[in-house]
Order: sequence, then structure tokens, then C-alpha cells
Amino acid sequence: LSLSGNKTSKAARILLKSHNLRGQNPRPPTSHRRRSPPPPPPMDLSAVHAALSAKSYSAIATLCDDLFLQVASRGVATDDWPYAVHLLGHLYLNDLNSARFLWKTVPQEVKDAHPELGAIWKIGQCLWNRDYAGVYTSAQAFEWGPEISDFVTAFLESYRKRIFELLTSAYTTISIADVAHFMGMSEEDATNYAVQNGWSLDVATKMLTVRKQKPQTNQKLDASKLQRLTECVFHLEH
Amino acid sequence: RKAASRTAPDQTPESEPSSKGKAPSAAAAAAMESVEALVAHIQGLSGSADELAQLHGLLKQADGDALRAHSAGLLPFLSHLHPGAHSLGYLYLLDSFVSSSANLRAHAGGDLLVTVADFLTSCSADQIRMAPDKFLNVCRVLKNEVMQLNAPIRGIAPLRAAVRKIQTSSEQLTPLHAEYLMLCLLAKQYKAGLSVLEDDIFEVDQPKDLFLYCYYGAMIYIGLKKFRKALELLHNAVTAPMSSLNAITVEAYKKYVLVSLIQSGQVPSFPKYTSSTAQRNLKNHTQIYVDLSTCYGTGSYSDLETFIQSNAEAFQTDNNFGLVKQVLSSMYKRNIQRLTQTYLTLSLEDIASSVQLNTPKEAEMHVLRMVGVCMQSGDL
Repeated sequence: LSLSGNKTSKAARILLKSHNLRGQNPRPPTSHRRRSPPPPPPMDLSAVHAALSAKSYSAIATLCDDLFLQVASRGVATDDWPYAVHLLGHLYLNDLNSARFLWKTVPQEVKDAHPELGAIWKIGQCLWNRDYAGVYTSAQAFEWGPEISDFVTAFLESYRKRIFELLTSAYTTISIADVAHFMGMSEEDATNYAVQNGWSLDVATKMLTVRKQKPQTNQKLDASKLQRLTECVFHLEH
Repeated sequence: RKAASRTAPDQTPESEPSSKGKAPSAAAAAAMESVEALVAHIQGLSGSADELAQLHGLLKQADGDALRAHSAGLLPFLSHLHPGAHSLGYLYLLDSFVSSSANLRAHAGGDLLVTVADFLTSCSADQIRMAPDKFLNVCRVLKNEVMQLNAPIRGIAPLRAAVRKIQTSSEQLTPLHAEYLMLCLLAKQYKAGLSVLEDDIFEVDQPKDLFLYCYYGAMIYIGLKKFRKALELLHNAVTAPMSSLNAITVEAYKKYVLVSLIQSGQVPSFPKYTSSTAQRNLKNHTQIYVDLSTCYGTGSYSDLETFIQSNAEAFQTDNNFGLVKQVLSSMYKRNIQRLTQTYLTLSLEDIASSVQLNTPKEAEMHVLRMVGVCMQSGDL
């Protein structure tokens, strides 16, 4: 929408003719301050790259969502959109619904052309089907590109932590074999991880006893505060 | 914010084209001259509120022959205007241009959509509120165009901006809300729909807007599996005042039954403030759903499964089969919960046999999954 010199002078001439402004210095009708902004470049992915470099992984999903809508509204072809990163962004937040919907909107040609995307989706499928061990094996089975590889590693760490919290809530005792299965680790590594987090090990039965997190108490209810509250209410009612 | 050149105050523009006895091309040229004059006014009079009021008068005068008859030639003039600074004038020209389907066909798939999208995103809210009907018309055209192109996602960012511009407060429901939500649904951009759904609505001008808003909004929440919020909206659609039943309410009630079953295992009865029309007639139009909820109440997974299979086609036609399947799988969860109300501790074998699962390990996985869901929703 930027103005070319020819257009403005022609319009100016016509205007001058109709308004009889001879003698006045012909200025173009539109001030340069009012010129429409130049169109933005087709796909500005710098924000996404910046977030990846800064390792702000939890921000990636929202960033990609908003940017994707902006890009789409300009009618730009989205074949080069970083779908793999976008998809992993949703998985990182355990937002499987958004991941599924994103996958559904990706055109088949793009899916075929980007095996990395399919590999990320495979992780998503394991998450969806609660194939706890499959998440690790699919993630480790693929040769990731340099930019996304750190992201995948970070995802696995955060996933492992989340599963561990789930186990802590759901079990009081659990076998080492099961922990290893859920955590995608060898039995030895799983035991070490658990013990480091305060669980106790019974070597004979190969069972781990969970150490529960203490629930956070929000406020301590003080007898004196209760008394004051009662007085207030009494006062208000009378 | 004054334009660099102002026409001298005592110069009055010619706004009526003189076409007496002239050849058509000359008349068209005269009309174009008057449009140019109009454009100069737009540039000059978009500063203060007084100027805008004056401009508005001129635009309304021109809105008729001058703009409509030669609307095809209006597009290049838009490049002389800034959508943000000259929103009102821009709107008049744009609205005139897009109101002709011939113009739209000529520019289908081109830059026109981007122009409209840019306008909606960068226009001044104060200015466009002076001509709300035209603004709504332009938005509607955008929506229709992206639907024609089978690319609803293209309309989301612009319409989201448009809703905010035309709203006088975030509590006001506009006709655009429902259209925006519909695009989000079609494009499967459910999270985008949330941004308007999160506002509480207290001001409604047109009842029809409300029904559609509630229905589409509920579908967005269903897509995000936020069933409680979906129920609130469906409840509003079902209990809103109405003198006669409308199709939206019937569809809303069907989903209301299904989502209630998923969320709480039962369908609440109509509250007292429900319209008598709804209370008398809704169940007649939604019989299989009422029967489904009765079947659900027996607690038998296999009976429910049989019922669903035999009525599958009806559910498919209503586009509710996905929800119906979720109703079925909620039966497991419901039955496990029911057991915990009776027993303090249960062996996994007991759970498996009561709930018709195959092995204790499957029961363990179900329970683990329920714990996981509770952790996510925060009410462990």
C-alpha cells in the first residue's frame, strides 16, 4: 500500500484543478506521515527461534498459535510453518487436545515431506494412548535436527518429572520394575532417581515405598481470628 | 494528526456528479472526481471529533449514487488512505466496494482479503463505531469469503480484532461473537475461541445472537473438554426466554443431556425459570437422548453399548456420535467412583470384576488414569 510518486502527483493535479488552487505549492494529498505501513514480510519466525534459543519452551505453544493465525490471515502459504516445533510445544504443556487439532489441520503433503513432524506425532500418540514407555522409545528412536533436539530432551525431562509425580500420588508402594517401565529407565537408574527423591527401597522384595509430598496448607486458622470474625458478624447482625 | 494539506475552509467540494446529457464515460469520470474530493475530505477531516462528525455527514450524503454506482473503481483510492487514521472514510469506501458481489468475484482470492483483514486489525474503534452497520457488513463479507475459500482460519485473527473494536465494553454481546466462534470451530482453533468466551456477557441486544453464541461457545468448550463451562452455556441456551422453540435450543438440549451425563452421570431437571415452551416441548424433539439417559442410569455398560449401537445412525446424523462415545467411556469412571462410595479399600480384582474390565492390571491403569486426570484438574 505504499504510494508511488506518479500516482500522488496526478491526483494532486486533478485536485488542484477542481479546487482552483493555482499559485499554491502543490503538495501531495497524503502526508508522508500518513502513509500506510509497509506490508510485513510473509512469515516472520524470529520470535519462535528466539524462544527456542532462550529455552522458554512453555511459551512456544501460545506463541506459535497466535503467530499462525496472523500468518493465515495474510493468506501466506503455510507449508514452511514449523509444525514440528509447534506440535512439540503443545506436548510440552501436556495439551494433547491442541496437539490433536493441530495435527488434523496439517495438510497431507506437509506430513509426507517432514518425517520429523511424524516422529513428534508418534510421541503424541503414545501420550494419548497412555503408552508410558512408548513415549521414551519413540523420542529416542529418531535422529532429531539441531534446533529441535534440545527441545525434545527438555520435553522428556519434564515428562519424566510429571510421571514421577503421578506415581507419587497414586501409589504407596510400587515395584522397581514398574517404576522403570513408567520412567523409561533401567531398573538401576530408576531406583537411583526414586531414592534421590526420598523414596525408600526394600532390596529383598524389590519394592519402593513412596514418599508423599506434604500437602500445602494455605492458612493456619487462628482461634483469635475466629473470635474476631464472630464478633464482627455479631456486630453486623445487631 | 492533521494531514499535510487542507483544502481552504471556504472551498466547498462538489459531491453530486453532474450527469445531465453527458456520455457515460464522462459521467463516470465526474463521479471519480467526486470520489477524489471525498478522499481529500477524509484525509482532512479525520482529526478531531467535530471534524469526524462533519465528515460523517459528507459521507452519508455521498453514500448512494456517488459511491455505489461506481464502486468497482473505489479500490485504488484505498491506498491513499490509512486504515488506522482514516477509519471512518475507509470503512465507507470499503463497505461500498465489498457490497457488490461482482467486485468480490473479480477479486476473489486476491489481496482483497488481506486489505480487509488489515483494516479490521488496524482501524480506530472510535471511528468505526460511528457506522456499526457498515462495519458489521464488512466483517460478514470477510467471513463469507473465507468460507468460500474453505479457509476459515484466515478469518480468525481479523474477526477477533473486530469483536474488540465494535464492542463498547467487554460485557457486550455483538453479532460478531457467534460468527467468530463458528470460524474457530470450523478451523479447529478452539483455544482462539476462548479469548472471547472468557468474558462474562451482561448486555445482549439481539436474542438470536445469544442462542448462537451459547451453542457455538459450548461446542468450543466441549472440544477443549471443559465440560462444566460447556454446561453453563448450554443451560443458558435451554432456559433462555422464548415464545416458541427454535432449532438451536433443540440441538443445545441434546448436547446438554450428553455433556451432563459425562460430567455428573445424570441430567438435572429444568429449573423453574425455564420457559414453559421449552419445558413442554424439548423432550419430544430429543427422545433418543432422553432414552439414552435412562439407559445410563441403570449402570450397565453392555446395555448402554447395545442402545448406542442400535441408534448409531441417528446420533451420527446429529453429529453427536463423538460425544455419545464419551458418554459410554464415562461409564467406567462412574462405576469405579460408585464403588468407592461403598467401600473404603478395594482390591483391583474387585474393581475389575465389578466394572467389567478384563484384568486387574487394566483396572490399575484406569485408576492411575483417574488419578492423573484429578491431578490435572487440581481436585485430588
